[in-house]
Amino acid sequence: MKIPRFLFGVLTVSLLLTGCDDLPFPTDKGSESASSSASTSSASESASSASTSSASESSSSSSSVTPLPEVPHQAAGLLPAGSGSGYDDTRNWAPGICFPLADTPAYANSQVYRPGGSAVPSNPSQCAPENYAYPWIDNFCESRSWVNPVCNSGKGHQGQDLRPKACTNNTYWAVAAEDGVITQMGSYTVALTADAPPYRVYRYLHLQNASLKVGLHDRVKRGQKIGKVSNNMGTSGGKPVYTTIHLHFEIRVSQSETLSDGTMLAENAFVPPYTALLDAYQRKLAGDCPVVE
Amino acid sequence: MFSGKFYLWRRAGMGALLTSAVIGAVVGLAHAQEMASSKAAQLKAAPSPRLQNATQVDWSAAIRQADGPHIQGAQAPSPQARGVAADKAAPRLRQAIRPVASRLSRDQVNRTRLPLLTPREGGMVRTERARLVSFGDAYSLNLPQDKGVVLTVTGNRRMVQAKRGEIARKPRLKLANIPEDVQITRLEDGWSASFRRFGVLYTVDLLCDDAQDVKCLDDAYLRKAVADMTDVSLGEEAQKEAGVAQ
Repeated sequence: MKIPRFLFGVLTVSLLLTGCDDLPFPTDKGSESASSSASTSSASESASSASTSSASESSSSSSSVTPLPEVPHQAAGLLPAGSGSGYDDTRNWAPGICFPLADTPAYANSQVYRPGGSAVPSNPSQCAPENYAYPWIDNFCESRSWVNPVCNSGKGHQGQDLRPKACTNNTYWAVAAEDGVITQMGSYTVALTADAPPYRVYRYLHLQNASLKVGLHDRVKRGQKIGKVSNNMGTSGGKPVYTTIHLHFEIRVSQSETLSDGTMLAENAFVPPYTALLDAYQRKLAGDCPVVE
Repeated sequence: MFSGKFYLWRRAGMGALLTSAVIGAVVGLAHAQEMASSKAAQLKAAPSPRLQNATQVDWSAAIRQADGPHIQGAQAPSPQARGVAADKAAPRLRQAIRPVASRLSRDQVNRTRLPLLTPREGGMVRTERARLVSFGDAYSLNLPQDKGVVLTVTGNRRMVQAKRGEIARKPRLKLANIPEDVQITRLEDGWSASFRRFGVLYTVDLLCDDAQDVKCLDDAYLRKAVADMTDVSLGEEAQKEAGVAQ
């Protein structure tokens, strides 16, 4: 019942704009051009989304159960062959968060096993079109030497890599996932601790230092600009080090387990962000999480 | 060329179309927002790790540590301590705020409803630029060290329930001068250690701006820093919950 009303709105606007071309009476040129540009933008987004959606995804968009835009994506925990062991716990570890990039589209995929990454020497361009295209691909637990007990192999990448809208350095904003406080600031790292229990920690890596709009212990609101996505990776031996242009996004959650003898164990673990990010992205595409300056 | 009458009819038609377009657009926009919020509500109901109540703090052990001789680890509870409630008779607390904590924002210290674990005074961890932010049941203490090196200590007593065996199966270390088992993890930009003391989960992060900084080449510096985390302070909220009198 509700979707036809929405479609009615969109169709009517489209009809009106089509008919406007031969209006014999004077029009407000300013508003016409504004409408036109809105229409163009909306149309190109629809076209892009339609061209990348699978049939089942398209059909599900007319379902009243999942009304949000579908995003072509690989399953959580499923990594491309040869890139890592993956993981099994695909729960949403941060329900309701704000998608951490201000602009869409954005692309979740590997920075190592894609063009421009060290594992693909045959194609050195990080700006290759396939990097800036759907489907989303999980890369939590991608092969790394770091201990990550969540991974099936016990080692792996501790976050999810996100490419911004376009392959442009120092341009696109990373925003706060939740209301909270900035609790760590490194040369290319900003950590945000959420105000609400369980006080999740969101770590943003590779932000451009000069663009940071936050300082240590600043309070931020959900959707607030933090810094621009860049290729900054700090220094090594005093020399600047660069990666590809992307946001490495981590979530850490305090967890506990009580053993059968009553002993309580606890840990502060990296958890897979993919499911939470995918959901946040869908909500973002539907208008959730406006950017806060 | 249109006649005047046709022009008026057409204009009226366009007006009606424009009105319905505006109404349609508004309804559509409202519906899009509704969809977003309904999805958010749906998510809240979706299975996700369950948040537990605040863990019970072993206040007796925390008070012993706060008042005791600050020898590394000497007064800490055994790893088997399971959140024993405060002693029935209100324990006395000789020194609620240790020297390092006394230089932090008193407001933030007082808001903290858990034992505030800080480096010991005069130890290897520099504390002169320490800054604290409290979330009530959690806190974050920022400790800038030498140039480009920062330690962050966090305490948290609000956790989500891990799956059975999820934590138990993970490797832990027994370190010199630290009574609890410790989990040490390498980060993209440093190292992290976490352990449970007084029922609270504490984490010490070490971040280095330069990947070749000797403090981040291995976890030796972090281990020493963790061993120095022996001072315990209790702000007003913590004292209330611990039922202590000064």
